Amino acid sequence: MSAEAAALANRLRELTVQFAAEVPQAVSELLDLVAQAARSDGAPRRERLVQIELLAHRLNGRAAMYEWSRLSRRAAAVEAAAAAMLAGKGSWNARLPALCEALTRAIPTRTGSPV
Amino acid sequence: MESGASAPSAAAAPAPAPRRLDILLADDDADIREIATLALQRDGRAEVRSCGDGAAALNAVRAARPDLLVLDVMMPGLDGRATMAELRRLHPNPPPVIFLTAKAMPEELEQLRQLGARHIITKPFDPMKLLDEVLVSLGQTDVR
Repeated sequence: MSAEAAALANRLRELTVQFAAEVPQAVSELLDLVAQAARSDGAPRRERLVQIELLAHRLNGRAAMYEWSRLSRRAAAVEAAAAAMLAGKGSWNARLPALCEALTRAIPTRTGSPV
Repeated sequence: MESGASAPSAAAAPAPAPRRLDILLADDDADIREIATLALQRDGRAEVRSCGDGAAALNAVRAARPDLLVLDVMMPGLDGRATMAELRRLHPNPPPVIFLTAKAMPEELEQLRQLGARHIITKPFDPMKLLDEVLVSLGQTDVR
């Protein structure tokens, strides 16, 4: 492996550990947004759904990048549900809280350990 | 008169270093930006400018036209599709665009192709192969 490739691999490992530490906070933020969306309607709900879709999308993208497939799949499910609700002009989908709960169970239990 | 044959000093001059590929990368995720930048710059054949959204990318193109844009599809504000549409509206000869997307549904990929994307890279990408994939899509054959 070249020096550049080794440096890249090292940095990937550092970012993976950093991401593992950030996941619980990101999922907690997602759960808060879902709770807020459940309580609101109209434009406020739509705004929350856009935030949920984006946050879940980022979680999905990073988890995939760091090869945490379970977390990635569950974040993708939340992202897809939010996108479907947005496409349906914001009608409430009761599956969204359940999908977020499933996401909490995919949070890595040990820093840096793929799940 | 033919030049070069009677100018040994010119022949001995070192060849100029090949110009690096100027890549403009737009992705709202700081981690993905960092990984992609490191991956694309890892052997010195490319240099990367990066930004976090489509509006910043359009400003960067205005400041200096890159050889290639790598655009994340889903970004807040001006997303990848809208950025490409605006780029084509503003520039008669826009630089080629490669999309980065986490959504690999065939219909979405087809939509991106129809927009005129040079190539589509799905996330997760392999950082060790990203530069080669980009160079191949640009038709550069000196890929190692």
